[in-house]
Amino acid sequence: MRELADEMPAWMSPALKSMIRVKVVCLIASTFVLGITFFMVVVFRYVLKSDLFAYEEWLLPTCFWIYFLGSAVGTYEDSQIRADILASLIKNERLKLLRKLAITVVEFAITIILVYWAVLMLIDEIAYYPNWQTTIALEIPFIVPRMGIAIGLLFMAIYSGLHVLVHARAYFGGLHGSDGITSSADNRGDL
Amino acid sequence: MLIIGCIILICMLLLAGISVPLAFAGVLILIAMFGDHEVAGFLPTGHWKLNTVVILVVPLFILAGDIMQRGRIAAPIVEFAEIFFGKIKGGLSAASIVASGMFGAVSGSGAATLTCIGSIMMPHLRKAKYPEGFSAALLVSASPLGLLIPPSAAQLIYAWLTQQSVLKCFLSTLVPGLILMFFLAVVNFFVLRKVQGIELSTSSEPFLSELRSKSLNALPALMMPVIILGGIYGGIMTPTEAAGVAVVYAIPVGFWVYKGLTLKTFAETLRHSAVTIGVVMVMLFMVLVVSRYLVFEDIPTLARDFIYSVSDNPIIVLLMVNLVMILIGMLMDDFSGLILCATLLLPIVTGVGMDPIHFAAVLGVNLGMGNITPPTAPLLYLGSRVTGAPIEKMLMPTIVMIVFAWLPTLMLTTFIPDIALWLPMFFFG
Repeated sequence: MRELADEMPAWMSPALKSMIRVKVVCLIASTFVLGITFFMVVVFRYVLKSDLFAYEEWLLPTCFWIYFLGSAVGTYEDSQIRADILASLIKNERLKLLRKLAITVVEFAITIILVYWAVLMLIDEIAYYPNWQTTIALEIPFIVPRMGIAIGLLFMAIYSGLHVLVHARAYFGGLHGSDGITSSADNRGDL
Repeated sequence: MLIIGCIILICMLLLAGISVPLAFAGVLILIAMFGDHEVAGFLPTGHWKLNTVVILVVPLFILAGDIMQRGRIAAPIVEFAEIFFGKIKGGLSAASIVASGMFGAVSGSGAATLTCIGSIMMPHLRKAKYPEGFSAALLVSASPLGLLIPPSAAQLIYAWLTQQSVLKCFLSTLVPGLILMFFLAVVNFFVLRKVQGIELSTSSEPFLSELRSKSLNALPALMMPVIILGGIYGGIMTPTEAAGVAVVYAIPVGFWVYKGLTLKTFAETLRHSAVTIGVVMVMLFMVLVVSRYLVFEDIPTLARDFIYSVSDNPIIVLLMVNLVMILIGMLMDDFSGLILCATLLLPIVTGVGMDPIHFAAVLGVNLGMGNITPPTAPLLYLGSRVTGAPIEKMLMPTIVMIVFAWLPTLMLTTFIPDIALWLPMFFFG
């Protein structure tokens, strides 16, 4: 199965694959930690008769990184949740490619606006330095999870942009295009 | 004006095939253009809303469900359900309804139920010469039982959003879920009564010994809902902690009891879960931000005024609300539909005297039905992929099941509040 990186020029493909690999390793490790933490909370309470001190203060920021990096990988794999009703109605192949191109262009435009909003959010946050908002016990700055939001959205925008390129090439150049990319679109079922 | 713009835009974007989070982000852009809001505040609003331990139950449920799914836990559940029904005509398909209900209690998700039970049952049903389209449609129609039989991640979100008791919300959908199972079984036996050529399963093993061996085999899988519900009901754990314990419980069960997991598949499971978690949670993030700004724009009040302007008769209002929920269920997945409906419609239904716990059950049934109702019907399309049955063959049986099983369940749940409220009242007064 071809993935998005395989559709890119040879110089870009390894870098893209490495970026995804790094993200996946981080996601696997942090998802495992997420799963174990609440079990440990129960063990600490009932077995060790103690508390896992302020665990939510480091776990919640970690989760925001999981959410947005996971979603970025979802954009890369084209596995975002969508009600792809038109896809099943359109029979003409060329029209299908045009529809796919139009969707990716709109998605790219929306993601770019989200990135802009994320930058505004970070600027606002940084403006408060050194009195910026932190968690109560561990004093972790709120910019940590918000950075995760911004970086995740940035990656989503990058991958959306690359999807636009691939679909544009498929539509205008008549290449294998969309059908060649590993896609789990219409995967609302993955829920 | 803005409300109409928001509705038109979201419908257009979703129908065109824009991903759900970005469709909601599109609505947010519209609100930014025509509303009087500081755009720098949009994303922090989402951060504040999601920055709570309670909501972590959703990723944990996804993770636990994924581990159970890849840990081959569905097979013993199916075998267990088959002992009761496998030997009568239409029994094998009835067993898939029961297995879906039981697996729903384990996974808390309609899609996971369909993927696991569908992929195991469909070859059995084909081998026994059950009609292909009907069998696939039945599996699809039974899969939203995962949303109704507790514990359900969707009900947890509803409870969190509306500040209701988690256990009451869980219990409110149990009876509607059982009623749905009954109706689906009736439709199943009725439709199959004249179908020729169905082969019945033959087993020489005595019933009791078969029951004993298969119950023991299914026990570790069926302990999962017991741990979650028992932990919460016994006051030992919060729902989030119970979901965390379920994750840790699922790991050895998947590795050593059912032997579906290896280190490699476990890492793949974590990767798959992380991506699903990201996709779902960013969608929740966007829906929560949009619903917040819809409230700022007083859109729930406008929606209420609009519905009341048509009629203030409670029956008509509830029918209209049901219609809106079915339409939302057809367009969106269960989580985002639930957030939107809870935000927009709860004030309307409480205005005509409906209990929020009762509404939890009505919403659960509605969204489940929306998920299998053509043309959008995400579970229907997934079902076609999982079972390999052509969608054209599945359409008519699915509509039959919607009309004769889902709609009666919905009407009963909506207009007889005791169906949803009896169990919560019995346990909590």
